[in-house]
Amino acid sequence: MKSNRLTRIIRCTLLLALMISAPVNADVVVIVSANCDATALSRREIINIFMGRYRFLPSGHAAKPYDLPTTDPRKAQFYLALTGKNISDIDAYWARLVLTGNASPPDEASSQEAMLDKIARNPWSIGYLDRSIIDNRVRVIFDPEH
Amino acid sequence: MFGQWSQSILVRTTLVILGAVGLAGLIFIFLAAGVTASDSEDRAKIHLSQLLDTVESSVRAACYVNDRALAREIAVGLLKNNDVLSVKILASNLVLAQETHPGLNTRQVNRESARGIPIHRKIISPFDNTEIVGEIIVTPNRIEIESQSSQSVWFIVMLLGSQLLVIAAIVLPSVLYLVSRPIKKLSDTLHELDPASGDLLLPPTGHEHDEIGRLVSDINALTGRFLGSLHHEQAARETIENTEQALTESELRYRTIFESAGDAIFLIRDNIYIDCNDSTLELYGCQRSDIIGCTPYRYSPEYQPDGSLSSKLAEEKANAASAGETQLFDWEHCRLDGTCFSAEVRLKLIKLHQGTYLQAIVRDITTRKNTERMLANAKEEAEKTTQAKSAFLASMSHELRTPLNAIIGFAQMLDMGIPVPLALSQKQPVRHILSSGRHLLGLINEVLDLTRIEAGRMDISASTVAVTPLIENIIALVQPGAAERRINIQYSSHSEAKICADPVRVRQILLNLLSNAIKYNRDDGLVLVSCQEKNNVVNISISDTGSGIPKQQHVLLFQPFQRLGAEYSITEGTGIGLVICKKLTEAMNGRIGFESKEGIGSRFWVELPAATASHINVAPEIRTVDAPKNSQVHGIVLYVEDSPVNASVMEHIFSHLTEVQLIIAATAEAGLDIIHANPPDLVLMDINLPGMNGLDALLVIKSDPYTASIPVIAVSAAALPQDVKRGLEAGFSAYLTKPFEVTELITMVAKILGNDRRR
Repeated sequence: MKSNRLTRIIRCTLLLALMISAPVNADVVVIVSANCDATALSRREIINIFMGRYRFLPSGHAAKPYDLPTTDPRKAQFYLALTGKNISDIDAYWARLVLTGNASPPDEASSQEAMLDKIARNPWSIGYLDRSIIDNRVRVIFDPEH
Repeated sequence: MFGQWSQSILVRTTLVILGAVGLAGLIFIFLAAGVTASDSEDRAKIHLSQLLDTVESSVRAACYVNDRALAREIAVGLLKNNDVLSVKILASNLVLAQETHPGLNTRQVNRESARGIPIHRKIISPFDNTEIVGEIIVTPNRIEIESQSSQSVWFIVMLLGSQLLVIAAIVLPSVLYLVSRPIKKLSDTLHELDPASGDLLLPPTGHEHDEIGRLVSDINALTGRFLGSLHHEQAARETIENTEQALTESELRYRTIFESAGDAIFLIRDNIYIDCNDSTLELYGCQRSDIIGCTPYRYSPEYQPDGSLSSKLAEEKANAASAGETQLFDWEHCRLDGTCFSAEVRLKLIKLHQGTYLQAIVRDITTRKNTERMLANAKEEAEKTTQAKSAFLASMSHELRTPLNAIIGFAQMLDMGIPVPLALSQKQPVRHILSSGRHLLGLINEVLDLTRIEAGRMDISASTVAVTPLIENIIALVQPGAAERRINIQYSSHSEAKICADPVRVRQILLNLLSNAIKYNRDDGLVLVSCQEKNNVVNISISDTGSGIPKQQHVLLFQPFQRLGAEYSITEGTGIGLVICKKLTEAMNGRIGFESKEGIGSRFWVELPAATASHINVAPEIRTVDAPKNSQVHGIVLYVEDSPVNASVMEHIFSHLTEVQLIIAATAEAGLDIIHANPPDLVLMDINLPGMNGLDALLVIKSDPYTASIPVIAVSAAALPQDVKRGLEAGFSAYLTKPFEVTELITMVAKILGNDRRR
């Protein structure tokens, strides 16, 4: 009980810290293909897709999420903004699930450009990028910072 | 057996300790079991909760993604823990995994599940704290928990059991060593102890200062006190027994005396006779019932011989006796038949615890009274006889002296050659008359002396007397007689000794002894006088060279009228000189004695007490005043004398004094007439006169101032010392006893008339 409260405080503090530090870092946003029929996605839907729980779009199509490489700081930034968890927690989460094989983490794009490319090409795919390098082939569907 | 054992401190201590520890242990075990059980439950819950904590993130992931495989894996992992009976993981409405303990069958699981309270935990989404994605239900394994709990309980039981054993192992020997054994030892010592002989209980070694030591000293103190009180009680009992015995004996003694006494004994209480003895009944001639209850004056005449009322006098006596003064008085009693008798009554107070009694001892003194009366009569008779004897002696003395006065007086005159000197052939017969007369006078004097001594009427004065002058004086007196027979008297001691005695009497004794020594000596003999002082006693001894006294006659010496054969010899003597000597010596606290050898001589000795410093009463020296010459003496002398012969003697004497005129009066009355008519210079007065006697005449002379200064000399044949004394007290200037020595008379007359002349 106590520890719960403590973790909550820590989390809030971290969230606050992120919110303050956000303008300094690059603005990571969730993108889909410009052809994608989905017009809007909630944070929960996005978490479900990325964390392997429910990988379907509102239209009923299976969604295909992509991750940036682990070395890219934007990955940690994205997950932190989206779930409020550190990348290590995310990794531990996947470690538990990967062994049983029922669920798996998103495929990895080798870079932002590759990510942009993959999203542009597949209308059911979903990913995240620095807002600065977005072009008209893709569409920003969710901004986790907000 | 057990009952006896259960008396032992050791056994009781053991039982109590075991019981108490066992009971405490049981309670403790139950408590511990309860605590342990609930503790195990709690611990199990915490354990399970902690287990759930460790798997929670995995469960969250599994529920989040509905991963059955992961859920089963988690459930199987949890079941590896023995505390877990079954695990169920749910995701929303979907059962992801349900696993039970592999060692149990379904029935057991169901039964245990019913007993155990399952732990439910909601599983929230890993990414959204508000979203519940599933639930995990864990059922604890009670069998396991209880087995652990019971293990703990058993451990405690074992622990307690060992503790009990350890305590018993320590306490029992301690009790045995510290309490049981010393007390047992003490008890044994106490049994062997003889407190009466003063033994003290010694505390066991090492217990001198603890409770056992105190117990020992308490026992000793108690024993001491007990013994003390025992002795006290014993002594008291003995005293009581002795007292009771003494009391009984005393009572018996009193009773015996009371009953066997010859005198009548009454016990009186509150003025009533309460008891009397058998002698009483005999004396009063009555029954006991006649006596008891009566007042003490019931058996008395109404009046006592002295005239007082019996009842009143009896009450007075009783009161005085009640005050503690024993009363002894004579009382007149009456018997029942009316006859009276005199009795001596002794009334004494007896104080007893229950009251005071008077004891009256009544003795019939009729016989004694009669004897007394007879004795008084006899005494009166004897006194009368004595008086008659004295009167007889006095009168004899007087009657014998009167003629002797004439005999000796005239003989002296003749001897002195008055009126004419005698012829040589006449001189010897006149001397014989004179000496015979003097011998007769001496005889009369000695008989009178003896009579007085025997009557105990000898006046002895005590004063200090120097022995040597006295002896020399006496020797000078007897010297002429001794010289006649050429007897040599020697006194060689010249002692300074002084004796305490009557000088006149000592002189009498020594004169007697010395006269005897000369009288019974042989011619040309020797008399030795010596004096020695030894041990405050002066011994004067007189030895002679006479014929001595035969032994068989020694006892007769000092007996009156024993002359030891001398009565048949020519030697004169009365036979009472030594008797008087002996009596006089003894009267002066001295002794007299003798030793004699027949044919050699005798030695008589007198022992008299030596004078000490306290005897300051020195005898006055007898001083002789030279009488004036007869020629110087002149005056008128009146001689009152009824006997013509004696008057004639006096006339012859005074005829020798030419300047003195002698007037004779035959009676006192005639004498007084002459005195009044023509006062003389001197009156010579006889005392036994017809009509007025000499003493009365003297009083008349002395009472008349005109004649009071005339000296009056008594010339009387009343020669007893009391006569002389009475005469001098009455006022006579001197007292001459008839027959007088002519020279003495002349000297006295000459002295008075000479003084008178000078005056």
